[in-house]
Amino acid sequence: MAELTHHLSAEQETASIENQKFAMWLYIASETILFSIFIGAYAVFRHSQPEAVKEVHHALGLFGTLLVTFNSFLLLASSWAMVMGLREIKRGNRQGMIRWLWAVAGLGTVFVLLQYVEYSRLAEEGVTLYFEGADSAFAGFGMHFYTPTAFHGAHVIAGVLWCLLVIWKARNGAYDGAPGRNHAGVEIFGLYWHFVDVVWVVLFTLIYLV
Amino acid sequence: MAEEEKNLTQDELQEVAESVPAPDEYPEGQAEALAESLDDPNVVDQAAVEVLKATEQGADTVPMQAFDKGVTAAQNTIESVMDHQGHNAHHGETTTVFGRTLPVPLYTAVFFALGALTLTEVIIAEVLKEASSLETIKIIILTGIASVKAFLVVSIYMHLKDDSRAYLVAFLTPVIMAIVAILFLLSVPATGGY
Amino acid sequence: MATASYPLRGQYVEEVKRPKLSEYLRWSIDHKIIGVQYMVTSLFFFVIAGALAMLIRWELLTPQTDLMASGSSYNTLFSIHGTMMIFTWIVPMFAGFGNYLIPLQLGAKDMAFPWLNAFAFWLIPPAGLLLILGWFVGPAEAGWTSYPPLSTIFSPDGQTLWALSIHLLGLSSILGAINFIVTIKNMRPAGMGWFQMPLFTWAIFATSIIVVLATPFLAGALTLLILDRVAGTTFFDANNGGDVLLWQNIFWFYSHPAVYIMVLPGFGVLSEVLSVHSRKPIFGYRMIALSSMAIAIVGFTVWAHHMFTSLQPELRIPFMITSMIIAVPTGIKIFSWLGTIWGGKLRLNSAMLFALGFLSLFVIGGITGVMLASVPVDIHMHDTYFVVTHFHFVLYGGSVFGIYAGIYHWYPKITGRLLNERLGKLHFVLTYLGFLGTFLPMHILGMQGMPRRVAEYDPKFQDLNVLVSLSSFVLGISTFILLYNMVVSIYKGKKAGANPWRALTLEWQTTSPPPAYNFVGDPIPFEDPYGYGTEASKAYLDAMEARFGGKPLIVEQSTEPEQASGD
Repeated sequence: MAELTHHLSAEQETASIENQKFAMWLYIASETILFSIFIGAYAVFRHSQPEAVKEVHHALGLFGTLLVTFNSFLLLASSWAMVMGLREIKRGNRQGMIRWLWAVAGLGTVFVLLQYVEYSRLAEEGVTLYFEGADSAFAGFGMHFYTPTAFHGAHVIAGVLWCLLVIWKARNGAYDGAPGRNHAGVEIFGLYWHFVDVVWVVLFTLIYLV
Repeated sequence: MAEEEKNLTQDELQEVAESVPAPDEYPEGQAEALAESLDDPNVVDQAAVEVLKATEQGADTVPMQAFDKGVTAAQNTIESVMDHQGHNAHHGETTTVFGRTLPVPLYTAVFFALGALTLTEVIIAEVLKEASSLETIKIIILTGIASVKAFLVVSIYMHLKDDSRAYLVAFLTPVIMAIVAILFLLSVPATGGY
Repeated sequence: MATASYPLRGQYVEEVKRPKLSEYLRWSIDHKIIGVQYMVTSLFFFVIAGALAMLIRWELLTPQTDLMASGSSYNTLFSIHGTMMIFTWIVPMFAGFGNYLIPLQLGAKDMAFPWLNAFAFWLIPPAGLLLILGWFVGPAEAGWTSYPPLSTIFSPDGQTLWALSIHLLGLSSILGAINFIVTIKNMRPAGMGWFQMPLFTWAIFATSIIVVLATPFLAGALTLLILDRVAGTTFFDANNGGDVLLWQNIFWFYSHPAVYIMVLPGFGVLSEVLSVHSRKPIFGYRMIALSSMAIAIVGFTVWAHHMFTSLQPELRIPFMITSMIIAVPTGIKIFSWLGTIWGGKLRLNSAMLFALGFLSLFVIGGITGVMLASVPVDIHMHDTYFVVTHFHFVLYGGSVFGIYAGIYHWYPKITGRLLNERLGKLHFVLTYLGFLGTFLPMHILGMQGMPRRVAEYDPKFQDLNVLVSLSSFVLGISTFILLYNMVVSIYKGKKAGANPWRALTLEWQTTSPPPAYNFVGDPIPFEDPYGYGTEASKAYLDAMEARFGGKPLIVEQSTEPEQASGD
């Protein structure tokens, strides 16, 4: 790609930002479908086994709800930090962006750690990824719960790593608006990160509240 | 800046008019033609362009270049500061919601809204936890709030509101397909059980 | 004389050397190299999957299980045969055509994301390898549809490798499709609007939309399947809280649209080949372009016609109706193609013969498709050889004949040499007759009730099965004529020149093979990619010929409508 991009004109440069954003949106489109399978599988389970879901909510108690609500705030805050970072780089303030992106990476990391805490609690209660057995009160909840949330968690981890990559590139002088070094890299990471946030908005409501 | 240029041009024009070479410098007949053509505004414009070219050549000298650089740098600084203010005014360090002005940028306001909606969701879910008769209503309300949250993030944080229509189509199509698919899966009876 | 109306910038490059063989064996971000990599890899898998088909037919020569050790090992044959033919032959082969041709048809230097393009290709060899490696741990034996509980409880570990492999192939086609969509939307040259695009580009665009939106369904289902197999979940286990129909629904969410992933590019090839070799403008350009989009959309609403025997009865009628509706845009295409060749001066070369073969066979496959879409017929013929022959008519008679037509049509552009016409015609005759001998009798077998996917059958079916098997061997051998032709013609074929067919689309308005970055100077698209037979198009082609040299294969004669019609 390097051979092709190093002599782009300003016009082509804009086109290249547009290309990357459009590609990211298309990628998000296919991710939407992918997540919808897991969400659909959970919805069918919730529809046919409402009692098992109630049992899990009981077992987790108020503390569980508060923990996951706090976690939701973390992810929403990281999304906010992301968009503020993008605003800084659009103004040409690279240092400002790096500060916001550290916040994004940090919040994402804490989110994953708290998810680990939550998983541990659930495992203690006997909610497992493999089928719990027909006589368990949660029968079937585990697989329908862990699959979407863990898949989402994997996306958060990938996002944190990507965020660190963006920070590293920014510290090495990328995104200064010179030809071939526009802020597209930050913007498409932002799209990804917000999408992961949107997925969580849906999962949070569907799994923990409904 | 542009105005200065214009003035300069008119001054120069007068000079041009005064400095038309003496007739003996032209081949026979051309002087008359030139004199006649001076009435033609196009010719005047052409002359002006020539003069500007000459000044440009003059500007290529070293002291002029240094001076030019200094002026440009100053201009850029002023422009960037002005732009900053314009930018802020555009994005807004304040946000107007339902006629009220909040002292925070739009993105921050959205963040607060997202937080408030999340809290509302949790409270509704906790209050209606045991009310199984209201379950359908609860599900509808919660799904509605979650949709609003998702809409806020997608339209404002992901800039879908102001961005290309193609992105909107690229995003909405799979969302609609996913909703239809999930509703279909919910509506057909699940096979199996215990 | 006519050159004056096309002022041409840049200069003609006398001879562009073909890339060295070694360049095809390593990482390259040149879309032309990647395109050829796709095609050669796919042909490799085509041969393997074809050999599996030969084994299937060999086994079916007799009503007993005698060639294979058991029914299970017979199951592995058709499972891997179907999977490879679909996921490692037809889909990547068309992706190869797309990769090679889309930037050329758009007058672009390369795809929008060259690196991503290369990455998408390099996912395919390991994925194919995973499929083959399955043999060492017990290969998948649940068919390409992989219904649970066959695929979850009964199939050996190869089924897990199978799922991983399809995952990789799906990722590859999603990344490729994203690349196509962005390239087609954003990189068209000035003067080429949506409705001046070549129809092959339209077809790839519609296909890519389906890939982006449908393939993730399969990815999700495969993830659940893998979890069921390795992590003890029971998503599809009806005995333990799972839902066995969930797989069928999600699988066909993907796989019915996927049928159009496999055939729409073939439609695109056909539109190009028929128009060029009939020397006539394409009939109903807009209708063909838009019907591709219509198929892409309606294709998402028909999945449950694969499940008439398992879904609850009241849903059958709606899906019967949507399935029949999708025959309408397909019919629009068929009639547009007939309108295109009607009254044209047909050049019956190999490419055209395969295109006409496609047309004739696909119509039969389409009609049996409508038959199967109607519920009572489907209940009777579900999972019989009638279904087998239906989808072989559309996928072999349609997609593969489309691929063949495309190979004969674009091989000169890719290599700079022509394929041997006599071998090409021999290939066509053997393939066409072998195809009919193989698949026509299957209609009768299916209607008489011979079930698919079994190694042992009622002895009363044996006569027809012997006929089918012998014909299929002819079909198998005929493929090697093409492969031989392709290898030999690289070195011994006649030089093709820039534009042997005098085609108007942009990929022909450069040398064969095209230089690095495809065009010297800016390419100038002709206003109508199918405007054959007009003075303007003749002037354009003459100008391009003067620029790039090379004689067209068919010299202007009085039979050439461009002169004869004189309009």
